[in-house]
Amino acid sequence: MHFLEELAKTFPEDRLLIDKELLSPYESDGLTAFAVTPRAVLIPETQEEVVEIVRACVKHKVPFVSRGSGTSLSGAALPVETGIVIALNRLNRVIELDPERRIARVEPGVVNIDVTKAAQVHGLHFAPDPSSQIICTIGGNVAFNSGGAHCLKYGMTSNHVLGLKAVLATGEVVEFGNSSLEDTGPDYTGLFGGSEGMFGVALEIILRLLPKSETFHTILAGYNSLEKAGDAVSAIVASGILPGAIEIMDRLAIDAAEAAVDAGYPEEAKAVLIVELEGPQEQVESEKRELETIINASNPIEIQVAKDTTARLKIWKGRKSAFSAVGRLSPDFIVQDGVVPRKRLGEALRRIEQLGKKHGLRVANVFHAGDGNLHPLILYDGTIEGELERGENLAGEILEMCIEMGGSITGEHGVGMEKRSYMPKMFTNDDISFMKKTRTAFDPDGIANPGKMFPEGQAPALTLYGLHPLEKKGIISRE
Amino acid sequence: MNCPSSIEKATEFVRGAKQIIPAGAGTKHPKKDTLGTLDLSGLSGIIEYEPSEYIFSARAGTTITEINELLNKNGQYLPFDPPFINAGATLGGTIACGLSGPGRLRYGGIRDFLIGIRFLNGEGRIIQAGGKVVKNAAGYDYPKLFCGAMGTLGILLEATFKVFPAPRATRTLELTSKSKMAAIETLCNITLTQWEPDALEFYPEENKLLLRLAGNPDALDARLPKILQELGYCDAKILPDDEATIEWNALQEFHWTPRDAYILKAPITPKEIPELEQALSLNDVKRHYGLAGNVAWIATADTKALEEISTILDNLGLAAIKVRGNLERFIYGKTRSHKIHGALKEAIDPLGKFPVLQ
Ligand SMILES: Cc1cc2nc3c(=O)[nH]c(=O)nc-3n(C[C@H](O)[C@H](O)[C@H](O)COP(=O)(O)OP(=O)(O)OC[C@H]3O[C@@H](n4cnc5c(N)ncnc54)[C@H](O)[C@@H]3O)c2cc1C
Repeated sequence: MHFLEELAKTFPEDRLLIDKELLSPYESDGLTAFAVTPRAVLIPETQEEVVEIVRACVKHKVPFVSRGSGTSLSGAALPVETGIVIALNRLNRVIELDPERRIARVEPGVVNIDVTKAAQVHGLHFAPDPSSQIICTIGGNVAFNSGGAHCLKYGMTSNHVLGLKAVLATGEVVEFGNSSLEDTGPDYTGLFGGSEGMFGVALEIILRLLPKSETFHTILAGYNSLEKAGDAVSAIVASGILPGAIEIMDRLAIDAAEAAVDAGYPEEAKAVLIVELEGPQEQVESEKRELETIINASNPIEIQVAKDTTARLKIWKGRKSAFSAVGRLSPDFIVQDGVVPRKRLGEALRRIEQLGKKHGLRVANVFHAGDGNLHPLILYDGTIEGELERGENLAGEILEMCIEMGGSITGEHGVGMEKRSYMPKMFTNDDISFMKKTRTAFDPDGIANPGKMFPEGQAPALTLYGLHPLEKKGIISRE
Repeated sequence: MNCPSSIEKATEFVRGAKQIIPAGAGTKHPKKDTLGTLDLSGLSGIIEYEPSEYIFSARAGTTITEINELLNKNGQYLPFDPPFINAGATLGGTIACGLSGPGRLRYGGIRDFLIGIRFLNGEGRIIQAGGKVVKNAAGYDYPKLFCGAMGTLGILLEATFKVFPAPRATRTLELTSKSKMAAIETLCNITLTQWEPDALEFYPEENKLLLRLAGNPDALDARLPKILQELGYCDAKILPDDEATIEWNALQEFHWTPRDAYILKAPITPKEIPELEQALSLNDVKRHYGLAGNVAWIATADTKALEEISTILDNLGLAAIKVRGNLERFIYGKTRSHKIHGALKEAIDPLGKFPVLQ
């Protein structure tokens, strides 16, 4: 029996999509430059159904791409033409939430913020907070080891995943880890995290929950140069304070944020720095004084201290809206998420500015300064001949700069389709062939999300970059 | 015994050998002078330390003592409290055993702070994974995979860790309850508070908890009275700093176990402790529960008791790994076996040179 016929026995028409119009929402992820129409989209509702689909794929050697909410910014959820997409949004049950063990056991389609919503009644939360958190799924977060604004102190998604159940691309159903903070033997859970859907489909994930911080203290400082903001970060880091978040935005990003949400950021500033302390009341109180001394000594032109939650959220609103807002300044843009050593941030920003000038394009910068994670936003107009190519080249040169400085091509968005050709610049042939062998153990037929991460294979033609459809509607914004 | 002094020599050995048993300082699994033993303590030394980046890289044979001395000078520390430091533990051995101490509770374990590795695979090729910046999502996460792999997947050569600024002060509270159950209940209550406990350990034989708070001295002193008040339902006392240091050190060095005892590490959750306690107290074995009831450390010097413990763990659905003792067998209690375990081992070590995890 044919592959789809076999699946049609279990899946009714409305959960096995083959019509072109019905497939179109699945053609791209957040990297809209790439679009591929898959053979079909399967919409399972139970873990058993996912296993059935994967086993059918194994039997017929049909490629499959897992998909959460499709907000990936690196094209990792891009369909494969000869394959199917497994849409996991309906596997969205929080199976267990146990305050005593401080864990949540969830299905992969659960939306990130819903974990915190479910945990809140116990005073707990799920720490990883990508700015897409109101829409992206835990399955996607795990597959990418996604980050957010609080990575320096709390780490990335994998640091909060204790165990998981998955169906591998061999059809085998496995369980890694457990509900405890500790594990025995090699950390397979850790290996699965960040594997970009190339090992199999996560069916159930055990998440570590943390008590919500007792109090927050948020301060915003405006500077007349990016350099001074960068120096302030170095001074904070050297002081021994460990803030929950340290973020910087440049003028272009500030302008965009102001136009979009009227965050009240300093008008004259060339850069703003946001620092947030969090923790027990007395500790924050003590660090607050120290932070104030450091910031005062860093020659800011303006300081805003959030007096209450409303003021705090206003500061964050500007920051969180910056990306989509920058998108308004330009019809198209490319966002990168390379990492450089923190002490070279100033240098990196200067070079990005020069590269922008060289290519005749504007670049806005919003970044996680605490961990050196850049987010340069390259603005261009795809209708002007040559601008897309110039943008692409500029993006590539920024990634090369990150590697040269001893950093990474991606801090949180993953390699996917977009950055696979840069992998050989960061890793040796031996490293990459070792990764491929690992991959083969999980997926001997190469059917799980093929074509991603590794530098071979035909890339589908580039179309225009731009806002994610949901961003255009103002539902989500990016960091 | 082979004790290479350079990566080239280690590579040569791996390429030529049929069987390889990697060894560090031997603080956990005593080194044997057999043909295949590869003593990595010669590959030591700090390669790079960037206090401003919160990272350091060092060769796998570097002792944690050496690392700690350097970090100390710069007001930084390894937040996961690696054990067996005074005994001479190395980075490589600590990673291979996947070991973290009491401090793991607050910010995470060794898996959360190891951000990059360089290792030799079974074909004698040097593979690097992860990176030298605190945030990185490129490539598969082998640093995590190697945590707890017990030397079965490759020879660690170098490791890069993320570090944190050290807290300026700590305060330790000793909390004694009327019963084990009461102590466990207190433990669960504490984990739900917003105090951000730095460490919380349970001594089952004394119905005692040891709670460590870390932060600025003024902040701790302002908070402590409130905490003591909230803990009014048990017998709470603040330990003087020197006494506290001795207590924590004893835990980190496993002084509560007989010197020649095997030590098993069993992941657990607070809910499962009472049953395990009941089952184990029949036997003459020592227990300690770390990380707010997330790990059971079980010690016995008796090989036969080890078998009994294994059965007990199995019956309770708990797995354990031997973190100190001979090298013959690592896994106790419930075992989980998936085809992928074998397939992965074969992909990484096609010639089967490294030990099998059993
Ligand atoms: C506006 C915006 C803001 C963003 N902000 C951030 C940010 O701050 N930090 C950050 O890190 N990222 C950010 N991202 C990127 C993106 O949201 C994250 O990568 C997110 O984790 C993807 O989740 P998803 O559910 O949309 O996954 P998808 O895009 O659907 O899939 C992502 C990858 O995961 C795989 N996958 C999905 N589910 C599973 C599963 N169950 N098992 C195995 N593999 C699976 C897919 O195959 C694919 O490779 C942002 C994106 C947008 C559009």
